[in-house]
Amino acid sequence: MVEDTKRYRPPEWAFAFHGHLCPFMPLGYRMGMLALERLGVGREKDHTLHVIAELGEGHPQTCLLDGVQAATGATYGKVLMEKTYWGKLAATFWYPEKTPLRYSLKASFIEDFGRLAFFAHRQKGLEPSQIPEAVALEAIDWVFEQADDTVFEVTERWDFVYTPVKGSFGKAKCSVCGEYVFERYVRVRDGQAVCIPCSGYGK
Amino acid sequence: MLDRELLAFGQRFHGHVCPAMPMGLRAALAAMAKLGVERAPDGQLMALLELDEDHCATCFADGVQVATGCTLGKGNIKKLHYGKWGLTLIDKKTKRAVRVVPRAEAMQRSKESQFMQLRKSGVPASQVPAEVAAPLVEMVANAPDEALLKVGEVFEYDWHDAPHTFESVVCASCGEMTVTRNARVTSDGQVVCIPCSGYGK
Repeated sequence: MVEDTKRYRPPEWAFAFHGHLCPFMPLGYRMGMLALERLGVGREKDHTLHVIAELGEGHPQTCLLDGVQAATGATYGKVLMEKTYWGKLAATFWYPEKTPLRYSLKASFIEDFGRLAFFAHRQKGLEPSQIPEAVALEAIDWVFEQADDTVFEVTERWDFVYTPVKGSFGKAKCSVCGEYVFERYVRVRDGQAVCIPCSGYGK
Repeated sequence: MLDRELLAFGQRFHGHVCPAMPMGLRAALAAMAKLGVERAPDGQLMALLELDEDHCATCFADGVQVATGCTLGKGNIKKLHYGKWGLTLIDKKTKRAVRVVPRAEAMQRSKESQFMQLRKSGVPASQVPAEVAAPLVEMVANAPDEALLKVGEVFEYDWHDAPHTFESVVCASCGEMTVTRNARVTSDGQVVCIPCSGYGK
């Protein structure tokens, strides 16, 4: 059966969430959907699936992670998305009782992709929303013509150990400013419970 | 020329004979001379070391501690984690600093030595034969400053120490003394230390 390379093209709402037309959000969306499919789980509603992304800051193509969030439900707000700051286009998808899966963009794909006009515009300093729609769509269309294994390298990470932080509802009121602070961030000053800013401790 | 007594003191503190600790002594002394300061009895000086962890020649840091009085225990020495041997010494009182760094050519000589071959093959420094280590130490001890180091110009540095605290509490769980700033509060309002809190930090 011929693979449908277009099956994980993002829906309109994912583009609206991300805010501009670029090919990396769709790449991340596709990555996230493939990971869910292979893990055999649905889009995360609550707090089970964790994504440990190898991207950093100060480099392009981090748009990938908005696609991953949109596809998987492993969002920043649910504290299910974290970054290792390694500057790599890869992410490991962790789900309890399942072998973690690492998806990375193949170097050969990145090189071929980089020849598209969209990237010439970006390198000249244009923001994605300043790039003509047709140029962005050309890049997105091209992504969805490539086979899954042309784009992604998938590795089963038997060695990947991850312990999610245990959550708690506990909170206390800061004796200085009167605002609520969640318990792991309560500090003590002069025998009183205070928040970090009011403590003066800085952390 | 390195004072022999200081070298011996440094070797005694450091624990073995190697060229990097004396290089630290030389860099520190050059920085102190440029700033016109004495060894710090308290926290008068601050040493910023460009060293990282788990790499060669971090022994440099012990030379800096011994010469400057900027020590781990006094909290006036810090690593910047650049994997380099630059030292910025700050005189807090006059808000002046200087950066001193060993010359790459000087370090290259140590790098190409038999001492280094032995170290790379896993021989601990204290087991390197004295006749192998001694020439390198002599080279570092005797070379003129200009051959060994690059000494920068003095610049203004308004260093601010982090706030110092004397407050402490007894952990309600393990009963050990804990700096209040580092104490945490559990769900049932107990003031405990970080390990006992389970919060990890």
